[in-house]
Amino acid sequence: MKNKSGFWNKAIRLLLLMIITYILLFPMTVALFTSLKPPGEVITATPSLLPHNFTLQNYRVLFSLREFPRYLWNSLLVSCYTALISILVSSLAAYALVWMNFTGKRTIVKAIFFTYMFPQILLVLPLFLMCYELNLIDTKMALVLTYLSFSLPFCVWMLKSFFESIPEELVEAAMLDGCTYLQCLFKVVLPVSIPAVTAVLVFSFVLGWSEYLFANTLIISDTNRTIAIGLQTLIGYYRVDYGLLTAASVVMTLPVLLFFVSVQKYFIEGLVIGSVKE
Amino acid sequence: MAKMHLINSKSISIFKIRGQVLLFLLPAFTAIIFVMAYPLIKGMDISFTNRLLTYDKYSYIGIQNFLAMFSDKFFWYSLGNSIKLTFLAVAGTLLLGFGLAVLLNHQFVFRDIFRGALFIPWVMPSMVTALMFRWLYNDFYGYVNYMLTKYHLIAQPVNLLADPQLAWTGVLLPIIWCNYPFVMLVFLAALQSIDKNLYEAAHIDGANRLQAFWFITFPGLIPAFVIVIILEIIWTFASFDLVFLLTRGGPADSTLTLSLYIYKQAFEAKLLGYASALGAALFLILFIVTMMYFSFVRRTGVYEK
Repeated sequence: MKNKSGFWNKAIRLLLLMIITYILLFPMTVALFTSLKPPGEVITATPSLLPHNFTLQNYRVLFSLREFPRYLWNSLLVSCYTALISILVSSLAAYALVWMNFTGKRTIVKAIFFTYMFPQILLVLPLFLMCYELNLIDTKMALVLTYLSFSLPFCVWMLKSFFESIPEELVEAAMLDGCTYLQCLFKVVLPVSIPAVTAVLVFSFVLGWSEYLFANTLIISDTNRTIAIGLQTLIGYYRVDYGLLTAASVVMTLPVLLFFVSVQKYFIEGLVIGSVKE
Repeated sequence: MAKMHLINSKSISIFKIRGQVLLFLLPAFTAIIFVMAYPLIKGMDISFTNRLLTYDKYSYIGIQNFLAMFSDKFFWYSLGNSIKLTFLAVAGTLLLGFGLAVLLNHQFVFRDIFRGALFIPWVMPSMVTALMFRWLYNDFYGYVNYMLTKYHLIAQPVNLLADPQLAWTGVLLPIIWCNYPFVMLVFLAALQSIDKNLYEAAHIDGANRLQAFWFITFPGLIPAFVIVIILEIIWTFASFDLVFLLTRGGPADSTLTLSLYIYKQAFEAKLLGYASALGAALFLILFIVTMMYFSFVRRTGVYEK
C-alpha cells in the first residue's frame, strides 16, 4: 500500500516537472523550429510547432549576408580576449587571496563582492566618457577593457571558492620543496583545478559573447559590431524576417549552450557557492 | 581560513611576501581601479556638472542636477516603475524558483537532466531572449495570440508590447524566465543541506509532513531566502537589457524604469551631467540594499565555514 502511493507520488512529480519544463523551454523550441521553416510557414496565422518542410534556407541566406560572419568574428575576438585576460589576472588574485596572508584581505574580499554586484547601467556613462577621451570609441579594445569590469570580479570570486577546496597539504608540500608562489600557482594549483579554470574561462567568454549594453553604446560602425548588436541590425535591415532572425539567434546561442553543457557541473557548483558564502 | 601558517615558514622573509602579494594582486587591482573605481568617481564628479555627451565644454553647477532631479516628475515616476517591476519580478522569480527546487529535491533518474535543462534560460543572451519573446508575442503570426484566440480566451489578437496595460505582463514574463534558474539552484542547494536525520526524528516524534515542513524545512531555508531576495532585488532593480529591448520604456513611457530613464537622458537627450546625478541616486539605493546583505550574512554567519 505504502509503496504504491510512493509510486504515484513519484509519477505525478515527474509528470508535473515534465509539463513545466516543456512550458519553460517552449520559447526556445519555437525559435529553433521557426528557423527551420520556409518563409511561407513562418508568416501564417495558423502556425504549427513543427515545420511541414524542414529547410536550411534561412541559414543559407544568413551566411550569404556579408555582415553576419563578420559579426560572429568580432564577437569571437572580443570574447576570447576577455576570457584570456580575465583568467590570467583573476587566477593571480585568487591565489593571493587564498594562499597568502596580508592585512586588509577581508576588505579586499568584500570589495570584490561589492563590485561583482555592480550594475552596468551605472558604469556605462563614465566608461563611455573614458573611452571617448582615450579615443577608444568604436574599437574592439574598448569592449574587452569594459567587459573586464564584470568578468573580473566574477572570475576572482569563483576561482577563490574553488582554490579553497584544494587540500592545503598539496600547496604546503610544494612550498617546502622550494617552489616560489608563482611556480606553485602554475605547477600545482592550476593543474589540479583545470575544471574550475575551464568553467571560469567559459563563463567570461559567454559574458562577452552575450553582452548588449556596452556593445550598443561603445560601437558605432557596422564593421566593429558584435553579434548581439548584429542581431538588432538584422531586424532593421530585413523588415523583421523572423525566419532569418531566429536562425541568427540559434547560431548565437549554440556556442553558449555547448559550452554550458560541457562545464555545467562545475559552473553550477561555483555559482551557488560563490553567492551564498562571504 | 586555516592556511595562514604557511606564510610563517622561516625561509621566506616578510618583505619578499609583501612584494609577492603586490605582484599577484597588482594586475587585478589596476584593472578594477581602471574600469570600476575611477569611472565610479568620475561619474560622481560629472553629476555636479552640466556636461553634455561628446561636448567637451562644461562647468560645475553644484547640486543643481540633484535639485532638478527632486522636482523631475519623470524621476519619481521611473523610480516607482523600477520598484513595481522589482517587486513583481522578484515575487514571480521566487515562486517559480522555489517551486522547481522543491520538485527537484528528490532522488530520481533524470534529475540532473531536468536541472540542466531548467537552468538554460539563465545563460541565454538577453538579445536572443527578447527576440524569442517578441516572436511569441507577435500579433499576426505569434504563438501566444494563436493559442489564446484558438481556445477563445480572447476575441482579437493583442499586441502585448504595444498596450500600456499589457506591456507589463509582456516585460515581466521574460524577466522571470531568465531569473528563476539561479533562485532554483540556490534553494535546491539549501534544501539538500538540511540534515535528513531531523526529518526522521520528527517522524518518530509523530509530526506530519506539513509540520515537518513548517518546523524543519522552513527555518532551514530562511538564510537562503534572504540572500536570494536581496541579490534578486539588486539585479532586477538595475536591470536594463530586457526592458529596453522589448519596449524601450514604452508604450507611452508605461514601462520606463530608472535605468532606462538614465540611459535615455544620457544617450538620447545627451544630458550626461543630469544622467549621472540620476545614476548616483540609483547607486545610493543599491548601496543600502547591499549593506543589508552584508549585515545579514555577517549577523547569521550561516554560510561561513
